[in-house]
Amino acid sequence: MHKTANGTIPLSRRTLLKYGAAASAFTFAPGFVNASFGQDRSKTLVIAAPATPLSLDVENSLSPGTIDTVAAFYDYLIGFGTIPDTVDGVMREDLEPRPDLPGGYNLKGMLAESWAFAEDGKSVVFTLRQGVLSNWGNELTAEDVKYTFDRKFEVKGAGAFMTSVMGLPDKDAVKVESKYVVSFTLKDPNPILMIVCGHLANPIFDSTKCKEMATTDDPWARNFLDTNVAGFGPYALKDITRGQQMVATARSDYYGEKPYFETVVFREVPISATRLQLLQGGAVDIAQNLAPTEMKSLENSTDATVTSIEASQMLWIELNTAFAPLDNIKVRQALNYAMPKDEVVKTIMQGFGKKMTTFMPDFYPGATAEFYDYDYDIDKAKALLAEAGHADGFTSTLAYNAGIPFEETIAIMYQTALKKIGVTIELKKLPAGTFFDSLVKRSEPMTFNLDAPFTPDPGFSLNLYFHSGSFLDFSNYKNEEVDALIKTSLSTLVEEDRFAATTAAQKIINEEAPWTLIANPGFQLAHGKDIGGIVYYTSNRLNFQDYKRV
Amino acid sequence: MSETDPAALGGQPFANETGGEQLLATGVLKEFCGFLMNRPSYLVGYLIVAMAALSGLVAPLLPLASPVDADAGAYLVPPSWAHPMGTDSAGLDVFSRVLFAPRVDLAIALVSTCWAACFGSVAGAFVGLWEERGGIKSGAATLILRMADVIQAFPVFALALVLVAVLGQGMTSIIIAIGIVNLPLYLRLMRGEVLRIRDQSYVEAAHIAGAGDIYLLTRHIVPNAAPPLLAQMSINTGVAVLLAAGLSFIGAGVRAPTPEWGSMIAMGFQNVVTGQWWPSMFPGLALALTVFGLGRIGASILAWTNPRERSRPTRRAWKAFTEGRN
Repeated sequence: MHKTANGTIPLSRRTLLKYGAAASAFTFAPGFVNASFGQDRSKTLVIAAPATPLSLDVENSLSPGTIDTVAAFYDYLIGFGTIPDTVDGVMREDLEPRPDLPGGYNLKGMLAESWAFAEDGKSVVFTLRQGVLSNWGNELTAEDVKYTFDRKFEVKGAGAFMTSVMGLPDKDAVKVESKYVVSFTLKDPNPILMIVCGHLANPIFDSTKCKEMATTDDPWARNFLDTNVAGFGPYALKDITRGQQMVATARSDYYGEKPYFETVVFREVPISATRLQLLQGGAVDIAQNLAPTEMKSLENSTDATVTSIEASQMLWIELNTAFAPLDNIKVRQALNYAMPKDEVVKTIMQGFGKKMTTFMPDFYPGATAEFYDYDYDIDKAKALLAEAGHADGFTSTLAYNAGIPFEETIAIMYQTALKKIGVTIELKKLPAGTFFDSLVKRSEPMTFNLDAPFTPDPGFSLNLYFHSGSFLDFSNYKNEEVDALIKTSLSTLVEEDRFAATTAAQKIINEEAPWTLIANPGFQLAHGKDIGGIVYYTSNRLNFQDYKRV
Repeated sequence: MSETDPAALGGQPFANETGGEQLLATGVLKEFCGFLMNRPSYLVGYLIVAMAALSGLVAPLLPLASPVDADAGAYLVPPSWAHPMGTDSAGLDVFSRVLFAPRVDLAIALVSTCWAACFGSVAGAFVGLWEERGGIKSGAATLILRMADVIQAFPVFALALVLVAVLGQGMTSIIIAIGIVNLPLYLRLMRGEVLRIRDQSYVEAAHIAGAGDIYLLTRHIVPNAAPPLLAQMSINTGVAVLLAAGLSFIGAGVRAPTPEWGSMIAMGFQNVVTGQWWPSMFPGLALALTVFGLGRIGASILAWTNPRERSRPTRRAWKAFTEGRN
């Protein structure tokens, strides 16, 4: 190394380039990557995600980042038992109804050790596990459960919907019976109370810490919980820098089985091609939300693979019945026949997922495809349009989310197909924020939607999207008979009656077609071949505590 | 024509041996063609832009696949005889779209550049003329200049993006947005030229003789300020093409599936990493070539209006000259 007389390195273009290149190579060297975690890489799970969580409080956000991380920090009263999936080495929730069991399903206690229903089905008593500590060292008591549900009533975020679905009339419905016993009293029997308790949006908060962090202006610690956590889950939050990364560390004082990965790095990598490259290069263990072609490209990879699982995710087009001529059933049916579903799945989705044939996830109990008859049929579509008095077609607008690239390609394919029946649609590409705003305001005639009902129940699913009073009824669909059938399914404990009601509702909905069905994209996890322990949840989330290196 | 009339000085005394006035009337175009023929690096720019414009014009007449109708069965098909540039992820024919795209790209670029040049140069001319006149005229000139400062204080792309967001997605919005961000360039350019020309003795003479502002501008000043403006317009058209493509790339441009190079690149760039390079490579190449071509046209106009550059012998002429001398 050439040095000047005083021992310094002369700064020239050549030296700058030389040492700059060396520094760059060092930065990207595997050793440096490992060293940057400051611990054993094998015990560190690195995830490349499109975005870090918008909020760590489920009352504020159920954005993808939040969905993927919240279950690491919080535990729930109960969860589903798991069974092997059809995919080797993968487990999934056991959704089979089990009327012989309390709660009607194969449920496992998490924070609740046991539960008991009253004869009339109008109340349930949970006995909590003892000695469970939060990430702040506070012990779980019935007060925490009470605080959690009081908060839902007061904050009026996502929790307001949850309490209504659970049938909790007011704060007094949740009562502390003793230090470790809490009861829920309902107005009417509710067949889905238990499984909604395990919904991702119903984590139990550490009330002691939350109360400590509350202020006069913020009595429910919303600001604190937005960027911090106070839960009883297996991980504690080490650091979160929105737009960059979130780091979680496994808790040594967790009551359950200790997770394999001691550290989880959830890194924001907005470009999917970059996420793919990081996975292929071994810099990350999981790359989320890859494009179908990118997942396909991993077929021949020696280091990475894609685990493709049947999932609750659905992709459809909302046909807003408030806009003419979409208020005409025959027009909506015609639009369904014009969607080339098979081609979409085969080409754009590269075979990942399958065509959609039901108005809820088809593997949910009570879901039926027996009324489905919307395979691609242009002649039928033309005939229906003619019957509807639109033989010459019409003009409309289809809005799609700029953040989901395959929506644009499907929209173009659909636009071409609709031309064949004389329907002209203008495509409206909207940035994610504007898109969701227009979806919620129901301001466009036709809008893409990619969503899933997290609770695996037909009544819950239909209520979410097709009840005229639901905040997610983005197609403005209104049918009093359907409303009544949904109500029946959510208020009777007799399984046959419940499923008879949801089957009847599905028949009407299928006939009236408020959606253009497209596909069930499935749950695809692109990961290193050394990652195992995958469990599928109907909330389509990651669950760090399940994963291990194999 | 008086000696003070700058038309007589329109670059002629330096460039030819036949006498300026006669040439001006009869042979400017011929001389310009000769100038280009002797400088192929400029000529290639005209050829590229002509080809792009021609492809946009004749594309509807050619037996091409529809540029907007997707073939559901042709997903990311590599280049072949059926699809010379392959198909994209929506099953659209890339070749057809590349040929159709200049209809949108060049139209946006030309219209936005023209309106920015018209309004910008008119405003710049008055600003230059009024700047030191005092009174309300100076005030108006200062106000216009400060407004231009405000526009130029924002990054060009960010401002264009905001304007499109405010005006709404569509071709008209893009044209307005690109025009607005480019307007100060012409304003300042014309102002500079006016400041240079307004102190010429022939302009002062006309002013003393009672000529009004509009007469001075249209008769004496603007004609002499035009050459650099034309060069700037040509270069700026290339920048406008890039800006339009940039806006489409981030989804703020024309609506899908309108054939437009920027949106085509955006639609295909994700596939490059998985080996399907053709949906974005071909439109990218077409875009780069067109912008390069427009840049060469701008450079040629600059060279043509620069007497020294224009009279510089070409390599071939110099070689012939030296060989003849030997």
